[in-house]
Amino acid sequence: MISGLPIDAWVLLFCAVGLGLGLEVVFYRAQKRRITSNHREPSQDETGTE
Amino acid sequence: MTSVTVISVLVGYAFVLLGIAFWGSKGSRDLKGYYVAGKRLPAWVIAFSSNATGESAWLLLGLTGMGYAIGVHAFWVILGEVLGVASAWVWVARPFKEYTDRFDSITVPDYLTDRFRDTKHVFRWISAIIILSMVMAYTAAQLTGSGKAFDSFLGTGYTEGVWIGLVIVLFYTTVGGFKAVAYSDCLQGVLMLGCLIALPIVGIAAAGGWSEMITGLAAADPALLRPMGQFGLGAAGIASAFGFVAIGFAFLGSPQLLTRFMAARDQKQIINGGFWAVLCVIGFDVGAVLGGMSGRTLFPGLADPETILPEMSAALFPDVFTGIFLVVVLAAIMSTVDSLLLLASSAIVRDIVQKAMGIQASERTLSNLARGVTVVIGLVGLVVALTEPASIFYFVLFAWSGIACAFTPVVLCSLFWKRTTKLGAIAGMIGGFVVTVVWTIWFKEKFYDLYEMIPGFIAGFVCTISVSLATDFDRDIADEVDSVRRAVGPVF
Repeated sequence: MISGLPIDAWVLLFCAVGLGLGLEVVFYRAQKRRITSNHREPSQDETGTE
Repeated sequence: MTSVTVISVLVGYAFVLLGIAFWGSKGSRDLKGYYVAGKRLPAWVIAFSSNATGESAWLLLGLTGMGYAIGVHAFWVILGEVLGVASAWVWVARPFKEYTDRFDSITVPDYLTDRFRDTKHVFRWISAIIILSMVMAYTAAQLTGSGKAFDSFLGTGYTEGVWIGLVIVLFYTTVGGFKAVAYSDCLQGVLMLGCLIALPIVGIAAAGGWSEMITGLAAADPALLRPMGQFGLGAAGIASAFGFVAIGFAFLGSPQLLTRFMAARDQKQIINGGFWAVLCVIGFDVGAVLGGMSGRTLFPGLADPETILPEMSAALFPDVFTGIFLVVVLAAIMSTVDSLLLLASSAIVRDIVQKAMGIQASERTLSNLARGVTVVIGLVGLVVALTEPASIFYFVLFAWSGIACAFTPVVLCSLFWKRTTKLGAIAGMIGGFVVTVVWTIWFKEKFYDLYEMIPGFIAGFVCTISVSLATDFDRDIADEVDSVRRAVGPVF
């Protein structure tokens, strides 16, 4: 028991909130990283050409 | 309970909706404007409006009632919905957006027709039948919620409450089209979130704190604190928990939610919107369940658990908040009804009249026809709500699964499995829908009340996959799946 609520109930609550949120955070970070690297690539090319 | 303050809040809210309707009307003079707001919506609007549409009066009255009646067992609903929303934004939204932009689709049947090169418009006819039948039940259930809410909060009487709710929603939907619907849904989503954060905080404080609430629940019924509830870890408990999780499956492919992805300005909006959508659904569901649980300690022995939110708002909050809670319940109802009305209207005007029957008319005429059809569908829903008032929870969950089982397995296969054929998709739509209805009517009670979403989903996938494997597939369509996949890029 933690704060009166059984541990299995806490585990269910944390899974309920954490799995979906974790999935979205990983996706968001991966996409942002991809967008940033895509923006960087053309600008490096341009610098090289100059 | 009726007071000038409560009515003032309600009237103020109605004026805001009217303002949004007139503002939205400028962009809804053609069908693309009326049904998908010209595909120009930003991330935050699609995030909040998709959740407000997905979560109806059931969230505020049904899920709070579940928290009240079954306690911790309702956490399974949170698991299903949060995972469902996250998965939809992570996996479904971007390829669906890419496809619908390529095809210039403005409805889900539009997408299916182009995706499977359906020159005979079979998808449009089947979709129209399924959407219309389920939207009637769904809309009627929401209007029932409107009648109950007005009666509980203001004592207007049930019939009058149904009428008031319908008139407001019909006005801003027909005047403002999808732009007004999406922005008003967004506002309604924010209001719902605010109240569902406040409800458990005030409820738990009124119960004397977290520990006192838990002690009170344990004293009332120890099963309220068990994840498997009163059923335990047997077949009935597993069926119940799995059924609650399955409620979230619908977020992956229900047309009223997919329309939001279609209406996004671009792919970037989807990447940004997903995070807000997930946070929003967490706030909605956790707030509703914990609010209901705190209500059980404060108001034990309610005859109808679905009235716990009106009870709590009247007893624990000042008058102005009672008005805000009424507005929030109405917001939840309206944000769902408006989208359903547009969905059904689009199935008739865009899919049947314009495309399947090939009737030529100007965009202005078609958008006016769309408005007329919206009103007629709303009135049919009103008649059903007045003649068959039933439990909101039952009807909403049935219609929710009927639409979801017809579309979601087929949409998922069409996005991710290039071997999916036209006949397979048609079989999947019919199979998923028919099994949902048949299961609800004849088998549900005999199998531990297993929620119809599960057999409906299984049937949808089995029919789609087995018939696809038994029929020839089009190489061009398969190449298109690869092309979309490349355009969208990897998920992680």
